[in-house]
Amino acid sequence: MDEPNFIRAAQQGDVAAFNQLVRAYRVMVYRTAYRVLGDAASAEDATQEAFVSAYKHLRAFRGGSFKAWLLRIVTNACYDQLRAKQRHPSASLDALLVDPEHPAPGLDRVASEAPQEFAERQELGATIQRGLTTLPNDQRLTLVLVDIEGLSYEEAAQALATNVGTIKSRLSRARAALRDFLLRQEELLPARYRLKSGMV
Amino acid sequence: MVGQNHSATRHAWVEERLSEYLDNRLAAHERARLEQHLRECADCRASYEALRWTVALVKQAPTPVSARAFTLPVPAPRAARPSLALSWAQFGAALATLLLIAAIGVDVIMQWGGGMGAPMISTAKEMSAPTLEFAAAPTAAAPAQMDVFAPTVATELAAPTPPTVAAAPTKPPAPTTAPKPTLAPPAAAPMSARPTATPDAKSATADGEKARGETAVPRVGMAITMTMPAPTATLAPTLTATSVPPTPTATVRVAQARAEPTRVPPPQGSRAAPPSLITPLRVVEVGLLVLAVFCGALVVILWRRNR
Repeated sequence: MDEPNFIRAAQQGDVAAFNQLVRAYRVMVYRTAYRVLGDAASAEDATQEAFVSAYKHLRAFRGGSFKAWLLRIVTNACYDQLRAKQRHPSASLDALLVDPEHPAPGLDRVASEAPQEFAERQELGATIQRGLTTLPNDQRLTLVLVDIEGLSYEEAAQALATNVGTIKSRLSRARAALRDFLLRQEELLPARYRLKSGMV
Repeated sequence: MVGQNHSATRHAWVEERLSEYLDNRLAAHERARLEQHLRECADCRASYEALRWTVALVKQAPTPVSARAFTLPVPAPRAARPSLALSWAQFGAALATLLLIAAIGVDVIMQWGGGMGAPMISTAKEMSAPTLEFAAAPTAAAPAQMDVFAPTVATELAAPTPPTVAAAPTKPPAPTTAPKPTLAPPAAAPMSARPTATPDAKSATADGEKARGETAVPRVGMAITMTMPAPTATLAPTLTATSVPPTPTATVRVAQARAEPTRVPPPQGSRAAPPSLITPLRVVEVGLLVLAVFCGALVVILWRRNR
């Protein structure tokens, strides 16, 4: 993908060019929103809101990492959704409680993956999602951006409008908290994902 | 006790840096110090392994996907903009039509106005016509200066003094060679001081109303002599004799004739010519009509071609 050209064209108002960027980043944006928010409906709303906002403010993009710039917009959209959830806590609880027997639909399945393996990975995803919901928003966002989306500390700092030291601190606490959660839930994980299995 | 505190502090220090160590973000001296501790401390080593396991699990979590495309609606391509030629043709057609309507409007107004104003125009023509006719006859005696006041003279001649009119055509042939020198002596003594009779005739007739009374006689006489290009010695006494008594009425008639020009009887054969159908306004109208039709046809042709 010729990303710089698409960005330039989109900055001139070319919606078709912007949609090329949407197609390139929609998986990342939706994944981030889903891991931060915990339910498909809110994640879809935040994703759509983020892309619309990105198109509106694309002229403000002055180069650098487009991925980080876009994730900052996604982060803001997620914060908006989280505030909405706080105003409607019942909806929030329903959304955040993930039933391990009926994991969220729409998880990707690797082509070579056996159905059993895919089912186990879905359980893993549901457990991690529950662990993420126990984290404070800032820590959760930081962990998602760095460990799931693969942003560097600097990119995460740009996306979250903070400094690298804060990112280090938040990430350290988030990882430690999620580690403790997963250790407590280890017996619920499929055998091959347990720590004792020596997978790592 | 001090050793336990030192150990706890060391564990906390390691715990805080395990995340950065995992990402290989520690400075060399901190990494060496941490690795040294991990080799010596099984708890911290287990903590580090669990942290590495956690991050690995997070990365293995399945990616949620949505059926929604999230693409923005692309605005429908706008219809091809009309060509510049079409725009100009439309503009031209509209402008020509508007101007045509305006020209027709002006024409209609002038037609209405023309019906009321026609008598005045024809009267003016009638007034100017006798001037030419009258001046044509005595050109030898009274040159072009008389043109403006010729109508007044004609008025005098037409109604009250037919004899003079009758006398005029009969007399001219003889003295045409030298009219002015012969005019002065026989007319009247006061007039001899003036070099030419025609300019005086202007002022005399123009001031006819004011000068009525004391100067009526010489002025009327002057007017008569003026109209008489070639008075002879024998004719002059008869003229003065006959013209002196009616002088007041003659001047009054002059004034009336000037005040009411419409009463002047039109000379025979000098009716106003019928207005021509080809006027500049008509030409403009036809031109605008042609332009409007041309531009309209151009619009239709270009529009069909664009479609």
